[in-house]
Amino acid sequence: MAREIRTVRAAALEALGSFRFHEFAPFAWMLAVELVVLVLAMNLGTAWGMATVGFLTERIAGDGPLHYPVFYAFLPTLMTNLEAVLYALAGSILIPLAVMRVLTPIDPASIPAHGVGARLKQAFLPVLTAAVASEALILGWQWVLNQRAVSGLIRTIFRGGLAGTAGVALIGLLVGYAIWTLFVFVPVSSVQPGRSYGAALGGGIREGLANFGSTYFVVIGLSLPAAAILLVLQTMGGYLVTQIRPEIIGVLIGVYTILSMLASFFIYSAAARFYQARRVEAE
Amino acid sequence: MNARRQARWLLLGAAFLAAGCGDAGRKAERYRVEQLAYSAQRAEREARLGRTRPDSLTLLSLRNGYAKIRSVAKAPFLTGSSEKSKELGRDILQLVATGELQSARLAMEAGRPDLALEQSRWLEQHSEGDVMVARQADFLAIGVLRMTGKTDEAVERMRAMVRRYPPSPPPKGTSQEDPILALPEMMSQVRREQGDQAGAARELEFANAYYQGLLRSPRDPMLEALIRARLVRTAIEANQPAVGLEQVNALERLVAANPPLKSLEPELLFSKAKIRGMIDRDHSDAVAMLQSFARQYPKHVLAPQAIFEAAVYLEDAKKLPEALAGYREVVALYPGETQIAPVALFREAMLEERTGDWNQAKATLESVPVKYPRSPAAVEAPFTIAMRYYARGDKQAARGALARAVMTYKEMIARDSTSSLVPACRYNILRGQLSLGDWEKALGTVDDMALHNPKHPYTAQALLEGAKVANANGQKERALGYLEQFLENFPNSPVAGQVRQQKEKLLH
Repeated sequence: MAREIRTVRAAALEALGSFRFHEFAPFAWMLAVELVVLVLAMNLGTAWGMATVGFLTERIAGDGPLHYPVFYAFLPTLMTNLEAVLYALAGSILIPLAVMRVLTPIDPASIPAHGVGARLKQAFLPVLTAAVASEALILGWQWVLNQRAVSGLIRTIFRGGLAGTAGVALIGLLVGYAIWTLFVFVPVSSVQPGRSYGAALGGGIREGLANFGSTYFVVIGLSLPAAAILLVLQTMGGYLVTQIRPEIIGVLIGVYTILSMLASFFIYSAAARFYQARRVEAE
Repeated sequence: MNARRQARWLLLGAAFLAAGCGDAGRKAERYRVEQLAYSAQRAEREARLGRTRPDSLTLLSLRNGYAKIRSVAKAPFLTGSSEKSKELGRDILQLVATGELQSARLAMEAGRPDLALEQSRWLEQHSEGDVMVARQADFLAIGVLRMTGKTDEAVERMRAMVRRYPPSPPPKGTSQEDPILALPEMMSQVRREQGDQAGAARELEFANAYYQGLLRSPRDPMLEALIRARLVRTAIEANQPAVGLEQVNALERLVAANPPLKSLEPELLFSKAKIRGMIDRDHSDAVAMLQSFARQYPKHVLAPQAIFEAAVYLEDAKKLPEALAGYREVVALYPGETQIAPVALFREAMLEERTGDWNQAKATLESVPVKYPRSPAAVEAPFTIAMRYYARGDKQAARGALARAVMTYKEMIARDSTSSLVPACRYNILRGQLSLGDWEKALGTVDDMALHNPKHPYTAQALLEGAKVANANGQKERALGYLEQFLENFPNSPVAGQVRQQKEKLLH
C-alpha cells in the first residue's frame, strides 16, 4: 500500500512537472467549448447570446431562468449539464487521445503513430460507458443527498446554518470524487493494445478499485482549487446573485472550468503514468 | 459540401428558428431591460445603506438609472406576428412601466414633480392599450398632482379613473382589492385633508353612488364582497347606519354562501360594532363588541381602530380612566399605525389634562411632533400646548409655548417641504405670530402661503387675516392685494361678496 501511494504520488508529480500543451490539447478543446458557451451566457442580452445559450437554457428549464438575474443562479446547472455531455461524448474520444499522447513519450512502442485512430475507436465505447455510468451514479448520489432526511442529518452534524450548507456541499463533492475515482483508469485501460470492450472497462474499474485509496488521494489533491470554487458556488451562489453581483457567478464558473479542466488532465495523466508503471512492473 | 449536406444544414437551421430562436431578439431585449432595472435597484439599495438620507442630487442620479430603462427597449412594444412575441412585448412594456414608476418616485422624493409628471405623460402615450400600464400612468399623475398641491385636478383625475376602469376581481385565491375601489374614498379623504368638509361629504355621496352602481351588474362574489365592504365603510363615514346595516347583512349572506370569503368576517364584526355604536344611545354594547374584536383579531388592520373607537365612546360616556387606558393601548401596541396612533396620543394628552395631570399632558403633547412628524396631530399639538396655557391663565408660559410652536412648525416644513401638512403648519405659524403681535412676520407668512399654496382653504383664511393686519398697520396697498388675490383664487367662496365690499371700502 505504501509503495502504491509512493508510485501514485510520483506519477502525479511527474504529470504536474512535465506539462506539455500537446498532451493537454484535447482537454483544451473541451475547455474552449465551455468557455465559448460561458461567454455566450454572459452575453444573454444580445440576440446571438439568447439564440444560442438562451435556446439551450429554455430547452432545459423553460422560460423561467431566461430572466436577469435569475439566469446566473441557473448558470452553474447549465454548465454542469454541458460539462457532463462534453465529457461523455467528446470526452470519450478526446480523453483517450490525451492519454495516448501522455503515454507515447513514456512507452513509444505501446502506441504506434499509425494506430491512434484504431485505438481511439477501440476506446470510445468503454470510455463512454464509464462516463455515463459515472454520471448516472453521481446523479443518483445527488438524489440521495437531496432527500430531506439525508441533508437534514448532515446539516445537524455540521450544526446548521452556513456550516450545515457547506457540510452538505462538501460531502456531496467528496462522494462525487470517489465515484469518479472508480472510473479514472478506464481511458488508459481502453487504449491498451488489443483490449476488448469488456476487458477495457472491467480492467479500468478493477484498477480503480485496487488503488482506490491512493488514487482518491491524488484526485482530491489535484481537484482542491476547483473544488474550493465549486464549494463557494454551491453554498453562496444565491447570496452572490442577489446581494453582490450576479456576474461574479460567471467569473467564478470561468475560473472553475479552467481549474477543473487542468485538474482532470493532470488526474488522467497521473493515472496513465501509474497504470503504465504497474504494467511495466508486472511484465 | 454537397447539395444534400447543405440541405441538411438548412433544415437544421429552420428547425432551430422554429423551436423559438426567432424570438431571441425580443428575449434579449427583455433581458437587457431587466439588467438595467436590477442595476438601478442595486444602486438605490446601496445609496440607502448609508446613515444619511440621500440628498436630492443623489436621488436624481439614482433616478437616471431607472429612467435609462426606456431607452433600451424599442417602442412600440406590443408588436410581433406570434402570440409569444406579443407576450414578450407585454413583459417588456411592464418592465419599462415599472422603471418609469420607480424613476418618478425618486423624482418626487428629490422634489422634482415636474419630471414625474413628464414620465406619467410618457407612460400614458406608450401604454399601447395596456390597461395596467395606463392605470399606472394615471396613479402616478394623481400622486404628482397631489404633491404639487393641485388637489382639484387630482380629484378629477381620480373621478375619471373610476369612470374609465371597471374594478377587477381579486386574483384567484386572494382577497386582494383592486386599488380602483379605494379611489372614491380617497377623494373624500383628500377633500377632508384640505379642510373642505362639504367637499368631503360630496365625495362620500359620489362614492356611495359609485359602489351602488357597481352592484347593479352581477359581479364575481369576491369582488361583490369587496364592493359591499367599501359601501359599509362609506355608509359609516357618512353616518348612514341604515345603509350600513343593510350592506352588512348582504355581506354576511354573501360570506355564508361563499366559504372563500371567510377572510372578510373580521371586517364584518368591526362594521357591526361601528353601526351598533351609531344606532344605540348607550354605547356600552358597541364598546364591548369593539374591544372583543380587538382581542379576537389583534393583528387585523382594524384592531387599533377598534380600540381607538371604543376609547372614544368611553370618553363620551365620561369613563375617562378607561378611555385613557384605551388610547394608551393603541399607542403602545400599534406605534407604527401612523393614521390612528398620533390621534390616540393627542387624545391621551387631552384626557391626561382633564384628569388633572397637566405636566404629563404637556409631555405627551410635546412627544406628538417628535414621534409622528407627518401627522395632522403633530400640527395640532404644539399650538394646543399654548392654548391650554392660555386657558389656565398662564399668559407668560403661553407666549413661550407659542414661540416654541412656531419654531417646531418651521422645522417641520424644512424637514418635508412637500408634505400635505405644510399649509396647516404655515397657517399655525401665522396664528402664533398674530398672537405674539409679530405683525411684519405674520404678513411675511401670509405672502408665503399665497406663493406656495395659493388655492388652499387655509390660504383663503390667511389672506383675510393678512388684509386685516395690513390695513390696521397702515399698509393699505398690501391689504388690497390680499383681498384681490382672495377674489381671484376663491371666487365661489361664501364670503366673496363681503370681501368685494371690503375691497371697495378700502379703495374709497
